[in-house]
Amino acid sequence: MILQRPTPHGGTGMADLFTVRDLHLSLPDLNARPLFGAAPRIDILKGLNLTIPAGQVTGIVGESGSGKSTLGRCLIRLLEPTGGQIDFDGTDITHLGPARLAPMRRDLQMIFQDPMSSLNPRHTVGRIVADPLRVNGIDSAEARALEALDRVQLGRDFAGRYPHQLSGGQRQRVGIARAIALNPRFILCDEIVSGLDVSTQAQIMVLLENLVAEMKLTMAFISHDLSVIRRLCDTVVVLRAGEIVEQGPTPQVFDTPAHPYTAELRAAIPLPEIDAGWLHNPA
Amino acid sequence: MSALLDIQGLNIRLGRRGPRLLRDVSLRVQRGEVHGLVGESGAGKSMIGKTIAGLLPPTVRQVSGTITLDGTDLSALGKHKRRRMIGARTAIIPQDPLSALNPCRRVGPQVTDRLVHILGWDRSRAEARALELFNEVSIRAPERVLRAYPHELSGGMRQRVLIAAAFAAEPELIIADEPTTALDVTVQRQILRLIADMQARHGTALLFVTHDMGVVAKICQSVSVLFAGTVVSQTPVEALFAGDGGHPYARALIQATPRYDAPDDSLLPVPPSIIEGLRHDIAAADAAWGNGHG
Repeated sequence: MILQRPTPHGGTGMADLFTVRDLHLSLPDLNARPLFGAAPRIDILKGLNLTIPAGQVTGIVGESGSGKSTLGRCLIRLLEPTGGQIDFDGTDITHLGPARLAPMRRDLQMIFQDPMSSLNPRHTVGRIVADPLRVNGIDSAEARALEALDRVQLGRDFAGRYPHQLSGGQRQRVGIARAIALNPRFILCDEIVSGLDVSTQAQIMVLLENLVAEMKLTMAFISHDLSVIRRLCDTVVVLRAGEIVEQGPTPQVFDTPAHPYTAELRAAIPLPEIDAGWLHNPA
Repeated sequence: MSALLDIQGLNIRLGRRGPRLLRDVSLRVQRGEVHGLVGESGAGKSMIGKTIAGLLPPTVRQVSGTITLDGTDLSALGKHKRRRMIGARTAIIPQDPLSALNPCRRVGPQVTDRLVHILGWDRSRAEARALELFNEVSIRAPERVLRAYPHELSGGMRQRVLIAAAFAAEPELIIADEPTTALDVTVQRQILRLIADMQARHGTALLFVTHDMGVVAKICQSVSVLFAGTVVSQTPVEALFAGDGGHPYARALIQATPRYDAPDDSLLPVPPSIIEGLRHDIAAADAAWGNGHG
């Protein structure tokens, strides 16, 4: 059994785990670097305000280049913002250094898009899942790793296998097991089902839903696919070109989009049904 | 009228004694239609396209079956003649527009290569044709794009360039291998619209390889569903999406596709019984086939 650690908010699940105010991030544009002097900076995130409620799944949606992955990586402080403030559970983590962040890392986990490149090909599945537990000084790392493998319905037999022996869906289950084994306060999922086949995608989504319900996970779920977001997320943030164009409860944003861009994104999804007008309708 | 592309009993295997990758594949593409080739990864979708184009890797070989393009049996042609015929009468729109373009060459010559080398046009005529096509696929500033390098163009723009290149020589058949998979949804919609418009205007037949049932529903007129190198169903698109029509596996793939308008009635995992049934049939077919082909 993985123990549920108590949260300072008494575990009601309704308080905000993250509060983000006026978040800015800019990076040097190395393509436009002059021969001498500093490269001009491009603004990736342009003043984002949002909250991520504890115990909920927050969807982050937008097209490529909209800044959704950059936002995610700021939240778990793989990137340092250039402006604004990120509070994680009441602590300002905007500019914390590596030493201060280290003890928080176990609470800020991530699942990656490409399960192959995010698993060490030379390590067994058991070691891949157990290593983060060992690094964080947790006793009985092996036992907890095996539990995590059970939770993602891979089973303990998989502990001795190597990533190349697994299918894409099984690899993604290993990535999920590694993240949940630490029982983190927050998990960032960056396009974790977009590389999978539809049937595998459906299985992984069902697994995620169950884990979210059982473990009361707080997640940010980045995806370009509005249909997947609609199924899993409680609230959704729509990003375009580094700005939030709309955010709110998922049903509301989908059923009555307030911003034309959200409506455009929705209309662009080809639903699996015959609709002769879809290709040529405007928008 | 006979079909433009007629594949009969195609068997492809890995090496001399390896497993079959395509199992008795038969499919027909009529002139001027968009035929969808849909299935999950490893089902053999791209393998069929590669076999037609004669681009199979050396470790893989065709054991039996015929591929007939416009009445001509491709397998009966010599390597050189086959290449000429494929080059002149078919074209490919690839999945990844960046790796399909040579990064060291300007876009223009890459589009006109086929016209110059296969159809024997002179450079200026080929270039005029490329500009005409660039206009048709709504590339703004076509002269500039002709002289641009691939890295200077966006993903959507590169895919437009490759669509223009595919249609330039007026092929009868275009094999589109997941042409929109790498694109954003809004760009995907523009590119699908563009492909459909070009296809209708030029009367080209399209073999449209995709894993996305949504895309199939919007652009195809007929569909072959593949599972493990086997065509499990070949139907008009209306039959596939009619409530209770089609093969159970095809229906399961449709129900596995996420829908924002029906979140709880989509994303349904494919029932294991369907997969087991298909695997069982395939094992039986392989055993029977293996007796004849050791």
